[in-house]
Amino acid sequence: MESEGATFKQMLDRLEEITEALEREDLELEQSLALFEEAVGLLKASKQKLGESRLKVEKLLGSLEEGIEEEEIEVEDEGAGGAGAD
Amino acid sequence: MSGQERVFTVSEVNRMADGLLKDLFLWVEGEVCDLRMGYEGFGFFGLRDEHAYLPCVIFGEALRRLDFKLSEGAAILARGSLGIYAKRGQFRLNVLEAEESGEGRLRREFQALFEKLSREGLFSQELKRPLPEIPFRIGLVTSPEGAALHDVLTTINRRFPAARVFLRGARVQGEGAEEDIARALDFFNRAASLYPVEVIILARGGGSLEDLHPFNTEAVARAIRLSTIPVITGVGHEPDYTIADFAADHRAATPTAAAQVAVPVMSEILGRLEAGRRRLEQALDRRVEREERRLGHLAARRVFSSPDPLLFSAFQGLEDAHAGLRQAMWERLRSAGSELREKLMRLRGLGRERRDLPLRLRLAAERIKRSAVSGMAGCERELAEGRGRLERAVVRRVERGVEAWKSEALRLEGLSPLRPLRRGYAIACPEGSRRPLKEYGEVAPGARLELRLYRGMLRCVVQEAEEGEAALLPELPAWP
Repeated sequence: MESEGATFKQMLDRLEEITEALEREDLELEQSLALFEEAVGLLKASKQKLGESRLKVEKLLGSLEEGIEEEEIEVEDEGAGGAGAD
Repeated sequence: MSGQERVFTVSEVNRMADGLLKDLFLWVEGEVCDLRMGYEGFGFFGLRDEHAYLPCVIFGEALRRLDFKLSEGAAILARGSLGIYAKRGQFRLNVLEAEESGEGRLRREFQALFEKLSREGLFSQELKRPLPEIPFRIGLVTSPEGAALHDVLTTINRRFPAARVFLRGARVQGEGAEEDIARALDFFNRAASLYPVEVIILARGGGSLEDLHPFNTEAVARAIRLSTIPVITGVGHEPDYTIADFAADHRAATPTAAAQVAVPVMSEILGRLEAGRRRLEQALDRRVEREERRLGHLAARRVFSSPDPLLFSAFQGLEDAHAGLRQAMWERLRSAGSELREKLMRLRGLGRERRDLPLRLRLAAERIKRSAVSGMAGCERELAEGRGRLERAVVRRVERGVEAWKSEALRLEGLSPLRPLRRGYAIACPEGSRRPLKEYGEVAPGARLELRLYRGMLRCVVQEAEEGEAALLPELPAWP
C-alpha cells in the first residue's frame, strides 16, 4: 500500500519534472499545453492536501479485537498552558 | 535472687540469641559503608539507610561468588541470616549472597543487554529504515498525561499541521510499562489497514535511569525492530541513551526533537510549490512570447506587408476574425473575473478562513490563464493556417500571371511588324519621316532615304527611280 506521504512526494517530483521539461523549450505546443494542464492540476491537488491548517489528533483506545474508540484531542497553541514535568 | 532462677553465662546468652536469629534468612537493601577486608578473606561492612545501621560480615566463599566489587557507598541487596557474634556480643548479618541494586544494577543490566543485542545485530545500521519525507499520518506512543505528548503535538502543529496524529497511550514508567509500549508498537503494525501511519514516534520526557527502565528492556527493543513502520525515539533529555534508542530507526534526543525529525516544515514545502508555480508561469510566458515572435515573422513577410488588393479583403477578414477572437477571450476573462469576485464576496460572507483565499485566488487565476492560453493557441493556429493558405494563393496567382504574360509575349512577337527584317527585308522611309515608301514615284532622284534593317540603319541617296508592278508580298501592318 502506498502511503499518503509517498504519493505526495511523487506529485512534487512530477511537478518538478514537468517544469524542467517545459524549461527546455523543445516540446511541441500541443504537448507543452498538456503538460501545463497536468502541472496546474498537480499544484492544485498538492496545495489542497496541505490545506488543513489545524493538526488533527485522535486518541485510539480499545483493541483491534474488541473495537477501537477514537477520541479527538485538542492541541494547545504554542506557549499556551503546557504540562509541567511528567 | 531466687534459687529457682537459672543463671546463664555470657556465652550461653549470646549463643541463645544467636540460635533465635540464625534461621531467619532475609534480603536487605542498603548502602555499603565502613568496608574493610579482614585477614582470612572476610569482609566487614555496614549497611545503612537513613535511620539505621546493620553490621554485616561476608565470608570468603560468598565474597568470591559476588559478580560485582563491593565498594563504599554502593547500593546493594544482601541476602543472609541474622546472628550474634558471641565474642563481641555484636548483632550482625551473615551475608551469603549479594547483588547491586538501584542505579548500579541498572547500569550493569543495561551494559549486559546492550552487548547481547549488539552481538545479535539488532542495532545494525543495515536494519535502519529510511524515514518518510512527508508523512501525513503519524503514530504516537507515549503517556497520555506526560509533557512529552504536549511537546510532540505542539511541535508537529507548528511545523506541519496538515498531518494527523494517532495517539496510542502507554504507561512509560513503572510496573507494566514495557509491555504497554511493546503492545502499542504492535498495535500500529496490526492496525495498519485502519490507521495506516507512516512513522511512529515513541516519546517520553527525561528521568532517572530507573524511570527510563522500560526503554532499556529487551521487550521494547524487540518490539521496535519487529515494527514494519519506521520508529523514531525521543526519550529523555540529551545525554541519556536507551536501548530503545539504539534499536530505533532514528534516535532523537527529546520528544520535541523527535517531532522535528518526523515532519518537514510546511512553509518549506509551500515554498517549493510556489517556486514550481513561478517557474511554470515563466516557461508559459516564454512560450507565448516565442509563438508571438513566430507570428510576427510571418506577418512581416512581403505578401502580408504589401498584400495584393484582391487578397486584401480576405486578409482583412482574417484580421477581423482574429480581433473578434481576442475580444471574445477578453469577454471570457472579464466574466471569469467578475464571477471570481462574486465568489470571493460569498466566501467572505460565509466567514471562511482568510488564509484559504489567496490559494483559491491563485488557483482560479491559473485556471483563467490556462483557458486564455489554450484560447490563444487556437487563434494562433487558425491565423497561421489562414496566412499559409493566403501565401500559397498569392504565389499561385503570380505564377499564373507570369505564364499568361509569357504566352502573350510570344503571340505578340508573331505579329510584330519588325519580324520580316530578320529575314533580310528593309524598310525605307524618306529622311526625317516614319512613313515607309511603297511606290517608286513617292521620291525623286537625289532624295535622301533612311533604310531600316534588322540590325541598324543606312542613310542613302536615290540615284534614279524605275517604274514597276506592285510586288506580291504580304502587306505589313502600318508602322506606328
